Amino acid sequence: MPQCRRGVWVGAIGLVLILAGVGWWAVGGAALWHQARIPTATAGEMPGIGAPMEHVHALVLDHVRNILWRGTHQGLSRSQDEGKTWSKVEVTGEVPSTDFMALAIDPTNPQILYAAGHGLWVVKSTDGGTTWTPKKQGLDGDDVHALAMDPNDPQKLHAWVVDKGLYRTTNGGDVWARVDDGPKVPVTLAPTDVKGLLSVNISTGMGGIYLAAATTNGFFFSAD
Amino acid sequence: MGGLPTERTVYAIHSHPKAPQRLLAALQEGLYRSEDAGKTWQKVEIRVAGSLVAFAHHPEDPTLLFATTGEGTILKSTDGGAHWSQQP
Repeated sequence: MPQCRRGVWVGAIGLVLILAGVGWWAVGGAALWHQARIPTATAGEMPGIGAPMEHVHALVLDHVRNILWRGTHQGLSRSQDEGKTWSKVEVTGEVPSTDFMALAIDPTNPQILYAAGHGLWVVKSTDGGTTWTPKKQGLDGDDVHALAMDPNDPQKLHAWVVDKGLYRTTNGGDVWARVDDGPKVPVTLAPTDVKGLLSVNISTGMGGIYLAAATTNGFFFSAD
Repeated sequence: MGGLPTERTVYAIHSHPKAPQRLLAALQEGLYRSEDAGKTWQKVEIRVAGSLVAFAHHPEDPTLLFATTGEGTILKSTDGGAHWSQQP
């Protein structure tokens, strides 16, 4: 059984145990993170080094207009035929970068989208992805690799800022506040590279839901 | 709590708000699916080159999912991620 320390992601217990309430809590806004175990392929099944993640990083669905949005290092594109064909979106507004590594869409109003990426900070569109506005107050860096929206409260999002940590907004990005350092490698407590964030709609019993992170060292869960 | 510990890269994770016990995890080694909030996992066969890096879902329909590889290949599932077909 792992040791658990405040403010870091440690341990190696499964999500089920965590969801059952074993060793998962948050204190003073500094979340306690746990690494989950998942099975992986045996050595014989492993395909070797996978393809590098050079281009596409994000995908969301506007279920009202039946549009798939795709975020890439080269910009934003969309498809109206379930991904068979794509058209590049000419974004307007104050967009500091064309690197769209993360997307989030409001399920109650898909005209509202959020994006983040290298040098992009967090930007928001309220007109269906045409015009974008920076939403960076409170963020400590412009290299934002991941976003997660609370499905029960689309005004609440988490963002991962490279080398800075995890941030949260509860007002649709108007103001962000730092939460913690994010996940760390068990034992060594070295920081991990977060690839994605996800709000998991299971109650923590403390008024929120769980937050998961996909990282270079497995995936981790924490009370939201 | 079956499964092996992993220190491998997870590129993307997914859970539908209306079916939160179902989890998907995209690793370099492939796609894994749990129906019991991570208690057990099964590898999902997907015939695509490269790793999945992102998922998209319909907010009202937990069965309808899309996924993309880093190279831009789109996969679609109509059964919550158990089976996937590559978009032509």
